[in-house]
Amino acid sequence: MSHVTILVVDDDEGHVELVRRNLKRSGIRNTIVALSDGQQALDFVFRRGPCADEPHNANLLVLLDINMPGLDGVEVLRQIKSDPRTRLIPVLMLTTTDDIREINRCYALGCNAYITKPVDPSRFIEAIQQLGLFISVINTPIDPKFIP
Amino acid sequence: MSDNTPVVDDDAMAVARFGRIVSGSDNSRLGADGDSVQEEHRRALHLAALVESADDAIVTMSLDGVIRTWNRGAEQLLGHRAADIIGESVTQLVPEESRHEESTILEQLKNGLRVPHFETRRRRSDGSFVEVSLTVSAIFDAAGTVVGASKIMRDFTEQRRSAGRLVERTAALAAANAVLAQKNEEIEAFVYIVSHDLRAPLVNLQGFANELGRSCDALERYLAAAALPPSEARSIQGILRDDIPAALRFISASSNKFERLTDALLLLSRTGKQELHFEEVDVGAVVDATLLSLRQSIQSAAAEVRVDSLPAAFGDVTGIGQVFANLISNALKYVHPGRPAQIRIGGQIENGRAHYWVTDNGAGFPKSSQPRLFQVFQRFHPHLASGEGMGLAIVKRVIERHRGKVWAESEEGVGTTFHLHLPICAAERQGQ
Repeated sequence: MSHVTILVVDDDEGHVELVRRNLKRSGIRNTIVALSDGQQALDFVFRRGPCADEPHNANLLVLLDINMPGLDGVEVLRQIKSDPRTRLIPVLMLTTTDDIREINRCYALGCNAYITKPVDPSRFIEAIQQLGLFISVINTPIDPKFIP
Repeated sequence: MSDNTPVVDDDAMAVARFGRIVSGSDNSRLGADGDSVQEEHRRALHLAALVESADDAIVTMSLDGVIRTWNRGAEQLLGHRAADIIGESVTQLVPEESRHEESTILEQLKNGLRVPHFETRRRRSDGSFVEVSLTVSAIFDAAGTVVGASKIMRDFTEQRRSAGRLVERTAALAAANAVLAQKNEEIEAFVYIVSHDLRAPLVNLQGFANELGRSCDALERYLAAAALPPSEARSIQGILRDDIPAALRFISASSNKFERLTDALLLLSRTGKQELHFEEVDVGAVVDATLLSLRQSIQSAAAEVRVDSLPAAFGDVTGIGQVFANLISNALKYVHPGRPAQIRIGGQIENGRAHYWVTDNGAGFPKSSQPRLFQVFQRFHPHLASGEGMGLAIVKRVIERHRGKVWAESEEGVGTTFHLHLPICAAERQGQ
């Protein structure tokens, strides 16, 4: 479990910080990498561009914000889920909208969970705790032959 | 005037019968049904008077284009006096560019073909032109042979002008409509973006207010363990226990309120965009289901609800359900403090549409607030119930998307009736 790296992709620094704090409070000690846009996220996941030489843990869990300038979260999700090398990476959409069409679109693209960023802190903590639970049960490492 | 308008030849003995002129020389026919010649003569004069007094120009001509009769209407429309024009050729009335019309008309009549009603121009005695609508009928003799033509002309200038204006107005309206539709779309998009994007900073406001609260708790624990002089410890405790938490409560309360408002805006923007599936809706069943889902509120308000028989509507079942749920729960919320709620729901078909009403004996609205009743964030009795003031805005949006109408009649302290117009099925409209 501890070898899973949590990648948080969100252009709002505050949200990243809140996620980080709440994960920590939920007892999650995994490495957390925060990126602020979709392109950086794809570079990181596919180890290309500026991330080409960066050694990182093969096991990823991605927390993706939907509304980001440039490449948005849905597109990042689509690219991750349509590539056989990365499609097994769990992706959780973390966003402010509970628009049912957007939720359905994300599930259709293969996202593993969809968490609405609640304004109410207790709900947020609850969501993050569920996320912690989720992280603790993903024990299926990615097949090495799919690792880029 | 129809093609069957009686017309009279200049022969005083001629009698028109349903568009046919029978020549006076054929007396045997006239007398065949036993009428006396005198009686026929009386009828002919009567018909001649009728033609003479008609507002339309009524002209008869022979097949070689010679004008035979010319009524007062023709004098007024075309300027020529009967005495001057009878015996003249009809071509002087026809502008150069439509000369072919005349020969075509006469050819068609000779061949027994019908000449459909048409619009054209004619020249007046002073050389000016007038737009006319023209009806041409054949004149037959007793043997059924075409011997001439009758023409009924009506001044069409004003109609043509109105038609032109109508086209202009229609175009202007269509343009205005397109602009409105676009503005509406922009507003929808704006509301969506606002309600959507405003949540992002809210998450921070609430999240970090919560973080600060936690930090205060932690500091307090450290403070308890630290050996500070009692007066300083008291001051710091005051800040940590009262000042900061009070400030945080205001931040939280305000951002919660902010959240509810943006959620309400988002809901309204979705109401404007949700897809409607039009079908026949059993409104009675929709209301029953709504009442069932509201049964707890009905019980706790000790409300008496009466539902009369409701006609079916043509609309979206979810949307109509939303409308009644909002109206009924409003009636349950804004109860007059002095009496239990009585709610009556009724409806009937009127003028090809369904009219429903939801009447209550509740708090009512002051006259002054009625223009704002259906606007967003309007709250008239915040002390009676909580809410964001979106319900009626949503009702209005749904009803408007049905091309219906919603309005309220209310008296403060007496009660309110909400009226709805909704479309009905085409079949029902015909059955009416």
